[in-house]
Amino acid sequence: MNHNIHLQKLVLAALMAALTAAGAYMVIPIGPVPIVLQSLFVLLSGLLLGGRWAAASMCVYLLAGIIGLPVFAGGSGGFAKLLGPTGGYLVGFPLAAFLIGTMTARGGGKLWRNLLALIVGTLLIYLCGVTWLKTVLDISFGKALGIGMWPFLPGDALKIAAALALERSLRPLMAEQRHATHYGTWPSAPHQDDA
Amino acid sequence: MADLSVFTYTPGLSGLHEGDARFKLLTLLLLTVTISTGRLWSLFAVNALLVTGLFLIRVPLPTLLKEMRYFGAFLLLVWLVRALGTPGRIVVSFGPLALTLEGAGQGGLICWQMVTVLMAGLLFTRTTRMVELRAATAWMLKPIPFLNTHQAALMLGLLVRFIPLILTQAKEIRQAQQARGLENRRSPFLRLTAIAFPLLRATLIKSDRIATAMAARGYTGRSTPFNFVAQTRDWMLLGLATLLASSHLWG
Repeated sequence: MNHNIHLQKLVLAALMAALTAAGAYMVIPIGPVPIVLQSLFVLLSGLLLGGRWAAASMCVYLLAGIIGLPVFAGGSGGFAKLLGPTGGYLVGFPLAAFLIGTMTARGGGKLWRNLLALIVGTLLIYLCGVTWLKTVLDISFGKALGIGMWPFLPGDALKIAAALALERSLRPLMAEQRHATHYGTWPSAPHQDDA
Repeated sequence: MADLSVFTYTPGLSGLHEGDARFKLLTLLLLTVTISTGRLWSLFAVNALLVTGLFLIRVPLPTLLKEMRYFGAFLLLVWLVRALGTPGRIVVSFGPLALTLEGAGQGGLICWQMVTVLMAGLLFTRTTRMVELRAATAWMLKPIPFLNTHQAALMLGLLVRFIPLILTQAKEIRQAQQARGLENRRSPFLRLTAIAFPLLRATLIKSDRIATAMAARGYTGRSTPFNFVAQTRDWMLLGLATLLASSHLWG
């Protein structure tokens, strides 16, 4: 891989990990269960970075939490968090990001393929999360689904739709950046930062 | 939306600022282990240690309290869920919901643990430069085979550096969208993407600029070895943290 493209991917993977950590603090109050942006950035890491880098990004996020930095939901951190009731969801993040990245890598940006990857990735997070929740709390599978999955599904459907739309909008910008990295010039005028 | 500028490195001359980052990292790891055991006297001891540290590095209390407002609301929510969802002796009931004594105690303990983790993270990030964090992480990850420790450490350093900046940017974007009447829009899809899109676009542009700046400065994937110097106080800090972390083994 071109050294500059490698560096670009590395920095973007680090910033996606930072977005995932910051996403734990970003809440959009919609409906009875507010939407936390964290898992949206997990899905987008897979779509934008590809399997390997997306998994690396999420592993760095977990590493920051494991060493004790307050990056997990609600400002918590520490290795014990991974062994707690919500640890399964956290472990599911790199797996889901890798799966989404791998499934979409050869799809040429096809909508149905991206949609399928996002659905499978989300279900993988729940598979890890709910199974671990059931084990740690020693409750029935139905109850674990009741407290750890069903209430969040409408929000997840919304996040999948948003991830698809965001990926479509961001792809041209990423293509421009790749072009600039390869040839040293931008195909068009670079975008300006705005809020 | 949280605003965590208090979690960024601030230069200083305290013992914690001048301490060996490897020892600080290991101490942080051990303290989180101690906190997770949930033993009251261990928590008291860790809190005493952390409050002393906060006093030593002179964290501005008004800024700290202002930026922790979000956590206050979150902690209240966590406490309420525990207090109302744990069976036990009923203190007060609101229709089908009952606040129990055991639930209130458990909720209080969990909130206390979360605040303690936050304090430990604050002390570490406020007193450790990014270059030290990177070198200490690379040192800690060295025993793991097939892992590019320099890359992992660089990514971790960037993550820690950019969380406060991203949160500040997210706050600005939210305020800009509120000024445009976003709160009045009924579509949840629109409300979500109106915040996420500018944030992601800014992140992509930022990552491109950082990568360009790093390439321009001759980044090759290898970093200059960092010379750590461990002093007696570092060993004492680590010894204390080890003692606390292993306390559940001896009583």
